[in-house]
Amino acid sequence: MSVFFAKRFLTLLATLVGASIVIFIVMEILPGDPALVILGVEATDEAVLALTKELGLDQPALDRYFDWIFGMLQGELGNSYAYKVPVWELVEGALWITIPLAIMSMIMSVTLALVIGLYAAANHNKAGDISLMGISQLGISVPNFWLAVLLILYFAVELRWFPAGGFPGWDEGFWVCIRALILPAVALATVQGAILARITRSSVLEVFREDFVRTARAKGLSQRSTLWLHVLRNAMIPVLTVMGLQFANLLAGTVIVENVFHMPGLGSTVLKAINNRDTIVVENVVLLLAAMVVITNFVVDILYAVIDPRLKAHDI
Amino acid sequence: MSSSSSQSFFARCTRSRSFVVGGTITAFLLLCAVVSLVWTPGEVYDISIKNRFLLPSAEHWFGTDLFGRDILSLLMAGTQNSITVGVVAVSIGLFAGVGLGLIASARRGWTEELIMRFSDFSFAFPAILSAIMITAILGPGGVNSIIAIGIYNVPVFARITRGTANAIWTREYVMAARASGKGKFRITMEHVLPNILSILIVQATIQFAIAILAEAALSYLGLGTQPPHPSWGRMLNEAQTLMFLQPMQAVYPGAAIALAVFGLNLLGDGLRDVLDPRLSRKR
Amino acid sequence: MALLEVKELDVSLSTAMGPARAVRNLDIILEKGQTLGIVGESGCGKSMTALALMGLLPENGTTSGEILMNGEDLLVKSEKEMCKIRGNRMAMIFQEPMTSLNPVHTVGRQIMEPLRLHRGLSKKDAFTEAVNLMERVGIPNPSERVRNYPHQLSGGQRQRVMIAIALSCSPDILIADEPTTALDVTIQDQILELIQNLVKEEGMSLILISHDLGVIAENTDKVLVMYGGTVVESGATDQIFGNLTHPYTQGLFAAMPKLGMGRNGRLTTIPGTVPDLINLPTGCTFTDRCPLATSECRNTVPVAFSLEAAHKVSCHHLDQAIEARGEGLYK
Repeated sequence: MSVFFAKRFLTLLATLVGASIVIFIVMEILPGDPALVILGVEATDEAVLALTKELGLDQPALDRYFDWIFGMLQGELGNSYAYKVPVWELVEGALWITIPLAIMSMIMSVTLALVIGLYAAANHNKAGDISLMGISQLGISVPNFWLAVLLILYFAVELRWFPAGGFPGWDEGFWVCIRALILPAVALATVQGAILARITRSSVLEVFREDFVRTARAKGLSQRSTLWLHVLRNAMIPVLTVMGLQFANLLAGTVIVENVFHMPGLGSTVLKAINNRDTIVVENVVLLLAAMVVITNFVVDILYAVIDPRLKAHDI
Repeated sequence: MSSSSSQSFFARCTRSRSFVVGGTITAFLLLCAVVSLVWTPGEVYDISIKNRFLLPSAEHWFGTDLFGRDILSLLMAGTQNSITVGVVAVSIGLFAGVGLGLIASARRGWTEELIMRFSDFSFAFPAILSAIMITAILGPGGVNSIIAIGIYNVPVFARITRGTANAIWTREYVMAARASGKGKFRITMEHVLPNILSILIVQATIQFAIAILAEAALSYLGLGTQPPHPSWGRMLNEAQTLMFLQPMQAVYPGAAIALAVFGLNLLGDGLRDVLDPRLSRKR
Repeated sequence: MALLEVKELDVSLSTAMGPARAVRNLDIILEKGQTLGIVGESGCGKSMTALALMGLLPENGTTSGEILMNGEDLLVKSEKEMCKIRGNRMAMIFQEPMTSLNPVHTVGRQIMEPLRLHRGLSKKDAFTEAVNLMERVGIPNPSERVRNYPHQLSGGQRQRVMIAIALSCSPDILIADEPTTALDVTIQDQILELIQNLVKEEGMSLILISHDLGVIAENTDKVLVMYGGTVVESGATDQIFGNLTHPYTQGLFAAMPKLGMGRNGRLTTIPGTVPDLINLPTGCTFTDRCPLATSECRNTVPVAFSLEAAHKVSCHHLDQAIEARGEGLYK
């Protein structure tokens, strides 16, 4: 187990280092001089030069890369070029919106997927299965930002159950914030849940065809007990893979859906930063998002080994 | 494909409900795109403020938008945009991705390792985020967003190509071809590629749908197709500011996107049934 | 009353091409402590018979007839009642020990499952019992092995675990469907001996399914020879192997390698292949491959003739078949 763990952890670190290099290079070739963007086109050459120096942008690229990485390791993210405030301050507020939103929609999507997927598999080729799979096919096709608009139109404008957008902040009370997050979470979860439901269904059906299911039935276990005790755990292996990949999509989805709901999450932070050529903010936010994805996949790998004892054996 | 299986090809096509429905929707959208090239019911580019926000009528079936343009015409012309995006983005992904995948699978060793690590690694960046970053470098615009989506497709195709091609390389007939002294390039062209083609076609259909979704998202964020070019995502963006006054304006373009993606996903499922019955049984 | 009495069992599977008649008109009588062999080529309905007995046919399968266990018809029992019988009064061992165990659970847990389900043992008692069972089926170091996962055991050991599971509730009937086919030849005999001993110790009845006449001859009291979903010959094992009668049985025997046949001795084969269960011939199913076939065989289904005592053969040309025993029907 420890060898397996160590191997996966090394991969995690290598991916993060790689990601930081790619992000840095991309931001280097990004056209537009931050100093010029901050000062406006009418700024004098001297002023631009001075600001460039002040921001440390005259240093060689390699130095700046290491400064960034080592700064980050010490918890120093630097100051935003555009707002002159520590990057962490900008990011922290955004994280308090994006992370709860991502977690909420992940919970919704997994619950939805397991309930629908298992129900459909248990009623394979019956009316319930066929109609649920038809609906999920539709669910996959709907763009999440459009679904967000429809949800606002119906539940916020028509029924007035939820706010149409904005975020009150956690100081205003827990439930007020949860209420504000529900519609965007549903918009995100529907598409992901529909995909996951289909994967769950086919995975369960696949495992039901395995020989050991017949053994379980021959022991006298009912169809239902077999599903819970023998099929589910085996069927979760591909479902977990997709869940890991989906978390990345979910984070990306928040970028757009936050925009629809006018929420100052990570998405709007990064979009604004790109427009402002606030490279230092972009670098850190993108690396943060990539890190979340990589760490999720790491957790998924560990969960694999917990679910499937064969994996550990292969790695040691 | 042998002649006996091609005889039942049409039979299998009509038997697959997904293929029939998905194919019909896709054909309908293609038709809209072609027709809109030569004729649209109303004006797509002409702005006439006095005609803005007209309600649906015999002349304007879906009404007009805030610039007085006919919404039905915009939707039809938007089909062109989505199809172009899909075709170009998938082609970029197909050519580069399948090429890399085939090379990885034929060469194995460090070439494969390098290509696969790189594609693994690119999965750490969420799709839309990388598209946003790429459009940020290249600048917003229709062409750039297509390239961004195309680049995103490269590792997707590289991965699926390598996976399926590796399985083919272990088959007996490939062994036989190698034993008879055929080179790797020739085996790839004669045996590997034809055998993974059906999987690639199915994947291409799915990526086509994803490309349409991604372009719509980028245009919605203002990073994709720029005005006055008609685009569904762009229409949604313009409609959102007026969402509370003119809600239907936001409904039409989204429905068009959903219809296109739905049709293509169904077509992909249907093609899987038709091209490879073994695969479809698993689903 | 016999322990198990099967009357006119029919099994058919609905397929896209129409119903496949996997088993037709099958009768079995099995007394307590008796061992019955079912032999035939693959696709002759052996496994479907076993699954029908267990009530575990695939979703597209339907049955008619009667399966009486102690006089109670299993075919009319509810699924819930069947769950109480499976693994408890009737247990089964499968062909593939590699895939028949759940890869994500320890073997101990898999042996404990029926103990807890049918015998209502506590977790602790079930664990102790599982170790005992593993010892009984000859797994070395059972108290350690009990915590192993299936992939950590060899094929033979896995099959022993399967036997332990089947044995756990001391069933009245044990069905073994090709229990040794997937194993190394050296292990096959050990496993068969183990089954044989356990059956004797427990006083169980055994239904042993195999394509291997040798295995059947050594391990059973009674035999059913199946072809194309029906029984073509049945009787006491000694009778059948002493007097091979049906052309198909003779063919199976001729196709078996025999000790001392030498390097130049040639195996005979039965020409043709097993019949298509969807489009079965109208008369005797063996007609197309039978050297004695006439138009009568093609048109009418032969009835079973009793040769001596319980030895029954379904063939239109019995006399010719008996005559041919000497020099053999197949060249």
